[in-house]
Amino acid sequence: MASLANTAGAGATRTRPNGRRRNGMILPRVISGVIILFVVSIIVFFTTQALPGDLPRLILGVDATPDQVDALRVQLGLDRPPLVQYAEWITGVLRGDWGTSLVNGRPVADVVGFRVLNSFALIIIAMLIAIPLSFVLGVLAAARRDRATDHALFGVSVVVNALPDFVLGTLLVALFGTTVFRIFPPVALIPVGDLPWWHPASLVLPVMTIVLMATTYLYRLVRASMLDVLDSDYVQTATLKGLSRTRILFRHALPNAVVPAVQASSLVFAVSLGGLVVIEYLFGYPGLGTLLADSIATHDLPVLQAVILIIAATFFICNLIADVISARFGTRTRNR
Amino acid sequence: MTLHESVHTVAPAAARRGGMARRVLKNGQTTTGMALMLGIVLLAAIGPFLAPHLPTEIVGRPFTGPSDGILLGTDVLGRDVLSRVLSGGRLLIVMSVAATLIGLVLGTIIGVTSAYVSGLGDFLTMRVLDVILAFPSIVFALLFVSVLGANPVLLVVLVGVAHTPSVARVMRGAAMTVVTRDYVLWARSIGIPPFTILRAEVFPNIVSPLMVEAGLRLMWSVGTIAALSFLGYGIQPPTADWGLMASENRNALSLQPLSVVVPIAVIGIFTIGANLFAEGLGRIVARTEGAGA
Amino acid sequence: MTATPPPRRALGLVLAVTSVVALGLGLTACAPPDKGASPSASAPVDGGTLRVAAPGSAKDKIDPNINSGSVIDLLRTEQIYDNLTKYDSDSKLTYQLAESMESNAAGDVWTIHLRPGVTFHDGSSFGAEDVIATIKRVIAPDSAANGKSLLGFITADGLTQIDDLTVEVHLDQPYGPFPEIWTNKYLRIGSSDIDAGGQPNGTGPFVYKAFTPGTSSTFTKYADYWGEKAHVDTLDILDFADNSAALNALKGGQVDITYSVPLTEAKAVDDLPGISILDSETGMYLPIVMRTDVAPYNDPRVREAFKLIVDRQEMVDVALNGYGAVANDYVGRYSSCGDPDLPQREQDIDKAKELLAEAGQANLQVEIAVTNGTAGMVEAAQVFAEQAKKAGVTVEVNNMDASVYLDNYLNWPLTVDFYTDTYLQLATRTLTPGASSNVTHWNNPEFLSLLNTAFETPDADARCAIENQMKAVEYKDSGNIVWGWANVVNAYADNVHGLTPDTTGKAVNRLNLVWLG
Repeated sequence: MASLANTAGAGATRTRPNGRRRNGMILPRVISGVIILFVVSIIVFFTTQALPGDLPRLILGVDATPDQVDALRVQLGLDRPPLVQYAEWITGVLRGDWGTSLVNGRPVADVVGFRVLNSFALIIIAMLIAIPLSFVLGVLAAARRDRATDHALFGVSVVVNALPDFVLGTLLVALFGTTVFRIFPPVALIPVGDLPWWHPASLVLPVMTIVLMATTYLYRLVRASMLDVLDSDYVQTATLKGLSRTRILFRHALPNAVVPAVQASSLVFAVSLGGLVVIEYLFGYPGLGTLLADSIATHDLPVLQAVILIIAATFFICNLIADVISARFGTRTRNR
Repeated sequence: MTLHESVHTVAPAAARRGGMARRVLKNGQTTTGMALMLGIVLLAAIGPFLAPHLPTEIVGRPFTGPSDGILLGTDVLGRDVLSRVLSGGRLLIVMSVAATLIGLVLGTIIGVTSAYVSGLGDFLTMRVLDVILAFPSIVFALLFVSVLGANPVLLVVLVGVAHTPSVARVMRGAAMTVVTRDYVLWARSIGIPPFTILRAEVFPNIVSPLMVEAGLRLMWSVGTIAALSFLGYGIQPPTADWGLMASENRNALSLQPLSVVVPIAVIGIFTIGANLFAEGLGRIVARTEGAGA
Repeated sequence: MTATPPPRRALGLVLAVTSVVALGLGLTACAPPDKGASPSASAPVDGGTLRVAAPGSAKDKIDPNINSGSVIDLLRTEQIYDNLTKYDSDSKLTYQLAESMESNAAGDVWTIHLRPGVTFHDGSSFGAEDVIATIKRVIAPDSAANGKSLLGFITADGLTQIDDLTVEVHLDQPYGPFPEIWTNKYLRIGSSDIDAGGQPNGTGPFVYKAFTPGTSSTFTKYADYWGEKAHVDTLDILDFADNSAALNALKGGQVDITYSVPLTEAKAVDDLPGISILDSETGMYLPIVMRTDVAPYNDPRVREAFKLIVDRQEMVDVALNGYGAVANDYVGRYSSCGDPDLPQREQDIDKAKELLAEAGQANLQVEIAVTNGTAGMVEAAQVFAEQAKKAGVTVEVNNMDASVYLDNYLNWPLTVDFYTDTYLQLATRTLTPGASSNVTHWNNPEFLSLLNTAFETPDADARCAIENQMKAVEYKDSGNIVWGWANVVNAYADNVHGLTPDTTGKAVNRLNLVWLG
């Protein structure tokens, strides 16, 4: 997953310098996290306010008289100072009132809520497959360290990680959707009101794309953790004493892989969220990503603000969780 | 510690660097990676001169298969796919390299300075960077592109800025290892100018992680800019661009797959090359750091 | 860490990379599977849910007289509402809610006899008061109805209800093509209480059930329809902003019919097993529209230059992928009058450059606004931009979302639009000042006086001569570059029966004739 590189530096060393250890420090992190979220909301609000196009005129249409336009401007509160508008917006958001869509007049919360459900469902389903798969592959790669299986997996992961999301997605569509086989629908058509998991066939290709990207990244972290443990004195002693490798793997190595895996999963969730825009666009999946693209195209300001805020907040929180775990458990993601 | 001894600490770094170059060139992964990248860069640079037709010229009916003179068939508007592939890399590669450089330079400066300064300055800088990191990179770019329009310079700056926090974090981490060492603290205390310290002690030690980051960032830049073009917010039609071609022609996957597969293949080869390079280099660095001083 | 001999590591890597590359190459070599024998059509079968994909946006409306004129609005309103008269698939006039219409000798009093026994979906009877109410609604001074200009010849006090099934229309001037005007898609008949709120209520073959603008609508079969009753039980019409996504949905079995097929893929789509295309030659055209009231297009030399820039055959070949025919800068393809005697305009770059230089507009830089209203529009803009380069004109293509495009509709200086209609209706709707679709803002006195005369001429042959004169004026002066006639290509799954090619371009609109099996 190309975008993974941004957060975690896939494969590269995330060094904790020897002379400094991160201790607990959860509370300060959370507090600064909340502050950062507020800053994020400010950025989102003020940037999107600068969207071209005069809002009241856009809503009323071509035939509106200047009086009507001005009246609507006052009604929408657009004549008040920007900070006041921001305050109104953010208090509304915290209260649950996200405004009304400019394009079809429906409450933003309804429009966005459904899409959030769809997007999160997609990612969670993908994670449910990717995490166990990563464990299996990670254990396998660790067990067969430096042999053919390990190298093959590594090679595939380098390739898959490098490919941009839409490249991987398009290849999968071509392979399973349109050109080579026609097993799965190339477009996810989920009727309004239907929950995504009622249409499993529609989900296969987008989920497969996310699973591929997540697994190739996650399995390596599992592998690295496992190797860490396998190389440790404790395990070396156990091996010398005659304990079977399998037992060592499952009893001792595996539990140690859990924490970095949880941390990495949080990161992967975050990054899937980022890659969602392209993946959903490619597959026509009705989620947050396509809503983002649509609201930009239609200049639907309230929806755009809500979507970006939700994506950024979730993304940030996932990263925060990963950081907190790192601080608490002192784990590192290492390159091998 | 005497000045004499501090010179000695520099030398091993330099020696390591010389050895590093040798190791990089001997390593299969890094060389393959560099070769792939170089190949695509050459394609992008020389391609426009080799193209038999203009990239926007209409040469036949849309989505026709290969014929003589039109080796890869036509695209959605009847233009020569081969010519468009040959011409479609320049802007993408140039923009990606520029964005990567911006990210690396800004990130290194900020990260190293932050490590050096430490304390409150460090803390605040990292928090500011966290704000940028709160946005997934594509969303970050889209946020500003939607408001300001899709122009190449803006895109380069946005992608570069999106890189900066991650690069800064890595560089800061690398710089930390040096900045906290006794001899550096000693050098600071006796008044050696910061820049000298940075140049002599810090930078040699961060070159390797920097190179690794460079590879990763390049891979990611190409991916992001191509993805933005794919979404329609990057390079605009009718300019030939690999990411845009993937989007324009993707409905004809069964009809004229070449119009999609060739552009995404070249994007893929480049990003795979960059990743191979970064991976290989990362391993070399890990091995060296593990084995060396 | 154990040192591994490089060859082994490289091997694994090379294997992986090779397999991916081989996969990529393999994809290009794969040919689509052979199409099996198509199932033969037998007798109509009732039942099932029909799903149709069409280009739509959040600006969708199901109002018989006031909507965006988009493909999907017209598709939906045609299922719920009826017209007084209608063209069949060979463009012949048939009577629908009206049984007959006749005029007095002078042609200035028309009597409409309505069909008895027709009911609205809510059970109430259809009658003269509904027709009168609809007409009044359309012609009201502050009405936003798209068909307002079409009925400009009618005044509210000229409408008289003779009895429940008879309406008399008194006109100030004789009006020849009276029965034809009611076929217009914006003149569908709603109930007299349409503005009192409540859900859409019409006399058509389908009943409104649900509707979310920009997403989908659901209708059910109307068992008491006066005409040919629908075969399917439920009809879902789904919005797609993107022709290709709609096509993918068809390929994937998620819809049964798609209205707008990307023309570049039509042949390939036809080859797919389980899918067929319906190719109708129509009078639809996708004009490049220039506003005659703003610079630089207010200069007739610039307009003529632009008309000479276009390589019409290339436009048809590339923008329509061959699904169309070259046209000659006037509208109204199918006419019982035959074509006017005008030389076919061809590309003439030298002359175009000359005219532009004369007009002081050498090296012109303009922007063309376009949206995906129907297949071929965006492509036409792009091909035009490419062709314009040869004459030194730089055209920037601004492809935008339909809702943004419609917000500024009628104001774009240069754009691509689409129309399909009969000549006099087109002339009224698109070439007269103040008309709802006069995108060129054209106001040509010669043309307008000819148009008036045509309406007042009851004799069809005499009207023909006038029509041809009007076309000659368009050819010379209008703001439309009518470069080609576009076929309408729809695609449908093999289990869909009942669709026939339709010169009005409405093959897919006659959904009550469709059955699944």
